[in-house]
Amino acid sequence: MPEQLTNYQCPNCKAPLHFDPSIQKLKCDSCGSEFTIEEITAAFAEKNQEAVSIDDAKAQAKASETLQWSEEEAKHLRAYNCPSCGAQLVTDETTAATSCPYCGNPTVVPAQFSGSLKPDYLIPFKYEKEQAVDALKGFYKGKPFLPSKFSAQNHIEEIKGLYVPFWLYDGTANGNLQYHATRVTSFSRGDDLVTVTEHYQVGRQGDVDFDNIPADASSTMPDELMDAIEPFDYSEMKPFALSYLPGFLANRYDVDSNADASRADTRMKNTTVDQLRSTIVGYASLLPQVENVSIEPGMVHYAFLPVWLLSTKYNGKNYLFAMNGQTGKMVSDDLPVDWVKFFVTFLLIAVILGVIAWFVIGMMG
Amino acid sequence: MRKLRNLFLLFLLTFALVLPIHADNTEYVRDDYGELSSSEVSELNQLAAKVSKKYNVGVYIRVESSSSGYSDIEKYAEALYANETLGYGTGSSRECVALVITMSDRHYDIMAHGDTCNTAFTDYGKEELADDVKYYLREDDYYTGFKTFIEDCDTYLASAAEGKPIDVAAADPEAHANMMRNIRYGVTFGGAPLIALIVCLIIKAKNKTAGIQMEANNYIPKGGVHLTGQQDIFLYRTESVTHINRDRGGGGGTSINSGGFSHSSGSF
Repeated sequence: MPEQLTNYQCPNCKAPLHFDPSIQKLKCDSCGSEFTIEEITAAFAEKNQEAVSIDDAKAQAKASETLQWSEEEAKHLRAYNCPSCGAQLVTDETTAATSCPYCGNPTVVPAQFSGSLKPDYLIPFKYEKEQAVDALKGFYKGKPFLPSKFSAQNHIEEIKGLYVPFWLYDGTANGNLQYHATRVTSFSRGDDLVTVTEHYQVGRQGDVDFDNIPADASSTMPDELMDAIEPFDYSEMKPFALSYLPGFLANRYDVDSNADASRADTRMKNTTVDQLRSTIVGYASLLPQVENVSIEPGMVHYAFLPVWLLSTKYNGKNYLFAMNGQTGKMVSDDLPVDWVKFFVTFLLIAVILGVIAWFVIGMMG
Repeated sequence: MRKLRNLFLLFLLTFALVLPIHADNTEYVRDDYGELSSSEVSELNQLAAKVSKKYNVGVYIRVESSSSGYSDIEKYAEALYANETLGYGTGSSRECVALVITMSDRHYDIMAHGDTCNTAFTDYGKEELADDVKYYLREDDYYTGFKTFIEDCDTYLASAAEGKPIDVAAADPEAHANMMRNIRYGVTFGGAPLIALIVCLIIKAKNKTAGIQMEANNYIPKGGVHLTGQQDIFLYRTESVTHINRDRGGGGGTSINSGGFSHSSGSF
């Protein structure tokens, strides 16, 4: 019976391999051997193909048989056997890469990448776990209203390196803008100030090309966080290979490209208006009359982009942080506010400004 | 006795018939440039005569082609005063207020002479009066502009007769102190807390760094913006005029030159 999962094991000692962002290679945890993506991809090609042959329905059926959950719950779960220790792994239906909770070996579900599910591209992680933890400490700086306990504890509940599925949209936006514009000049004539206002009809038409506007394709990823960690450097984007995944988590998409397209369209429309409008110069005012933008959709690419997700807990509430695994840019949910600090700062500033104003205006009066 | 009475009645009748003819043939309004019809000149003349007699000052309007031979319109107006013996009264203290305009350069001058007129037509008052009149002159509505001048003169002279000439409001130390006190309390107890709140809210905003992206400028390839058409079509033009207050905030009153004249002049 072929394996449903693939463990990337060291060809030398059979210990688990994981992708090391610092060397951009797969590294053996045990003997320290390093392998390029190409070497491991070639070595595991046959094994992956066998794993793909186990279809999703069988994994689902296995989950239903094994688990004491309802049929509806089991429908969204999958059960696999760990190729290293034989333990049973239960994952959700979109899990594409994970690690065995028993032996800790990184595992990949090749079936999640078969056919149309296979991503076109991937950007490898460049930041490691320790760097993400350090970045979080730095992230607290410059936020004086953060509760002291929140930043002092810095208790990270969970940290995971995740390849998040993204749709990358190409397209061309055709814009037609019409404005009522004015130019104003003033000059003195005798004891009068004369203001002359010239009124114009201003139009701009043009096309704007867009390449690879990202929109995360995972329903479990908060859009606000995924949008905020942009941009990614696409010059480092690679053709997808399973060998990049060991050591990280990955989910396949569960939001299809049509559902996400409206987000990309909105961004293209707004940007097209801004770009064309920026060519209108020399006017004192612009009153929009027509701002029509139509979108010609282009190619849609499926890509895995690297994200570190960190979560902390404070006063019983979870706070989620996301770091761009390529650039190191970190963002967060709405963090808690120490209202005592807020009001003390408010009073301090108000009193200082008030005292200055009181004396300065007093001297003027 | 009866003959004597008849002679007296005849004298009275003769005087009564002659009186209207000689009552007032003064040219209060004269249009040498031809902007007004004869009937308009006549109407304005009657109105000016009425106001002049009411306050015993001469109210005049002169429409000329230019102030030729004079360096400016004020000198020209003073020359008209002297040459035409304008004003009520005698000698060099003749009471007069005159509006003189020269059409070639569209200049105007409001000139006052004599104690009554210089009191009634303060610097501030003349500026206000000029504003009222210029509004119509700019529209080439000369009849209404001149009528406004005469009617305003009536108002100004009436105010002066009541001892309250139209002038810039004198600075009120108590009002100034009240204003400064209100500003002091307002800024200290309103402005300062408001600024403090804005600063604190800006700092608090640093606690939120996530947000939906609405732009896609990072994803435009080099040379990806193609402007295919642009139009900048002139439609029409509007003009507004605001009078600049020059030195109106002083102590008020009237600036009188060595000849006893005060002026307010400019263009319309």
